[in-house]
Amino acid sequence: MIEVRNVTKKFRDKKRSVTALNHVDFMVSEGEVAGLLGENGAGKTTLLRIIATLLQPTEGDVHVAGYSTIKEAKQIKRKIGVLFGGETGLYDRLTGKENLEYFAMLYGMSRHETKVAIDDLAVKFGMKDYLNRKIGGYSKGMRQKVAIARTVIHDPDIILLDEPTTGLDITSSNVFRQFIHQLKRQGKTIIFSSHIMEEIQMLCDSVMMIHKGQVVYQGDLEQLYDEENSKDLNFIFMSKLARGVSL
Amino acid sequence: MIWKMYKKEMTDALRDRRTLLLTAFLPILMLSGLVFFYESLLVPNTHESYTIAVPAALDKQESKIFSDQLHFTVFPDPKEAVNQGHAKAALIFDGSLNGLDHGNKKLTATIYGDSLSQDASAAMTQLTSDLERYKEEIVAQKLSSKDIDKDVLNPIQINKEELSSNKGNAASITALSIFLPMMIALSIAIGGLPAASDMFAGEKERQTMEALLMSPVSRGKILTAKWLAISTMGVISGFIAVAVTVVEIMFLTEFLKLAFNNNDQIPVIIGASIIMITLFALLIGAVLMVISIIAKSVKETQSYSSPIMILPVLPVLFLSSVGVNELSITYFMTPVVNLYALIKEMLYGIVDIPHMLITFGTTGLCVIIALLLSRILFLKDKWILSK
Repeated sequence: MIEVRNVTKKFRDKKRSVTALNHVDFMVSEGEVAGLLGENGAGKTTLLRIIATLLQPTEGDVHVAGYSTIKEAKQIKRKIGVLFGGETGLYDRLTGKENLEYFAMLYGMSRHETKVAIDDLAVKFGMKDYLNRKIGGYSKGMRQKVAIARTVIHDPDIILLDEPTTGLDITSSNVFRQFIHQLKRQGKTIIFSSHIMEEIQMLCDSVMMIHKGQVVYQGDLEQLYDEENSKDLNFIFMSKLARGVSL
Repeated sequence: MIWKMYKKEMTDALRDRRTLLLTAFLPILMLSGLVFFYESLLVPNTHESYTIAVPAALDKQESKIFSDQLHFTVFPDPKEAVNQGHAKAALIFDGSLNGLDHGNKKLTATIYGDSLSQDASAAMTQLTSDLERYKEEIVAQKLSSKDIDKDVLNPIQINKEELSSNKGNAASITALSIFLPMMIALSIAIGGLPAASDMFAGEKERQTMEALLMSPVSRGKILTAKWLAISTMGVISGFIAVAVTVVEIMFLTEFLKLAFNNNDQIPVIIGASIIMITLFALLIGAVLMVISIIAKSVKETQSYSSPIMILPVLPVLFLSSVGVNELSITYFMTPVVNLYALIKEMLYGIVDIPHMLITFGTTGLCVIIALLLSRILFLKDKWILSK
């Protein structure tokens, strides 16, 4: 479903060239939930941006659902939903509903489809009470729920989530985790970046560890526990970074 | 799709208090202040009175020489009185004015004052004029007593004939030809700025740009919708500027409104102004868009935009001293300057179609260039993705 082949990404500054990703290779199968682990600046966001067609690789190629991210970006965009970390990517002066309607329109959804999708998401995330209020007055958790709803409004087959639970309270995080389980049951392919190891353990089938632009591990979570003789993902992650070797 | 995106951008922009403030309220405030400032420049100083410091009181006959505007007050040190701000000017004679009627041949009158002050300068001019008139009377009397025609002292009579057809309202038209285009240009730039900075730099900051670029809509369509929304805000601001200016001038001024008298080209002026405001707003919209794409934040956009805000005022320096018949084709070919040149011509009642077409054409060409540049930038990830 997602195939990343020998991808290198270099950013040219005024004086120097920075290698954000260095010959990255990995694959995520259909219906798989893959966790992406790495320190800040490891290259997680760059990798997700390349898969999302927002950036082009300097070397190598990426195929999503059989389409090339370079040549067939438009087809890929219809099939994926992306939520980047940090800001929620919503318009403060529009209501939650207007935000969702706007993005549904961008994805070419009809009015009826949009209404059904919004009603469904409003129930799933418990947003009914505040969806007609402007985003500017929302709490962080409310914003994040609308942002997630925006990401999946067009029912994408592939979902890329960059630290989606950052700043969420426990209740909102739980609602979100339940939603990921639901998406998993529907057979969606998900790449999920997070700092929270428990979340990765709880939600993901496989894990990808990235360090200084290089993948230091990719594989099944259970297999990793067996290999490392530990079920403490935090410990495994730290020891892998310390060793800095790829398996 | 572009229309729907444009509608969303307009809704978003019109809900922003800062945008509304800069698009509507600020131009109204600026314009009102400037209308009254320019009106005050045109009001003749006939009703103004000035205090003149003198060392000794003038007698009745001496007082008759001077205009009623001048009020003479005795100060022990008249020069010091002017320096202290108690009087606008000081007048000191080295003898008696009446003495000139009684055989004295010469009298020196010294006027003291700060000519950099408008009031002091007006008082000094009035004093000089009154004394010159009195001097001519004395000379005429003395020549007459010796049977000599007074014209012997004026062998050449100089006459000036005004050729301008706007004799009565020339000053009003001149003031308005500087003021009106400056306000239109400034209002369009100020009106478009908040929307421009919010729609690119702001969206990069809030990461809505990434969400937008992730949609299957082409970047060209996104850019067009945003450009039209920014330009619309500029057009709204420009039209508010014109409407407020015209209404305030017509109903609240006495002298500025003379600029509209005897102008039978009003429908053409309105039509050309609509085209000009729209084209200029499209140009400024595209330029502001380029700046906002390059800037990393709203704050940075505002810093980069400062020179753009000065640009609309610059033509005043080139055009304020140029007569309407001296406006060469270069003025109509130069962007921004052509806005001033065209409005000046139209206010003088001149409708020159080639000049209009050149103005519209060159502005349109600049719009295309700025738009192409913004498109090139918008297609590059380096400029539109947040770090």
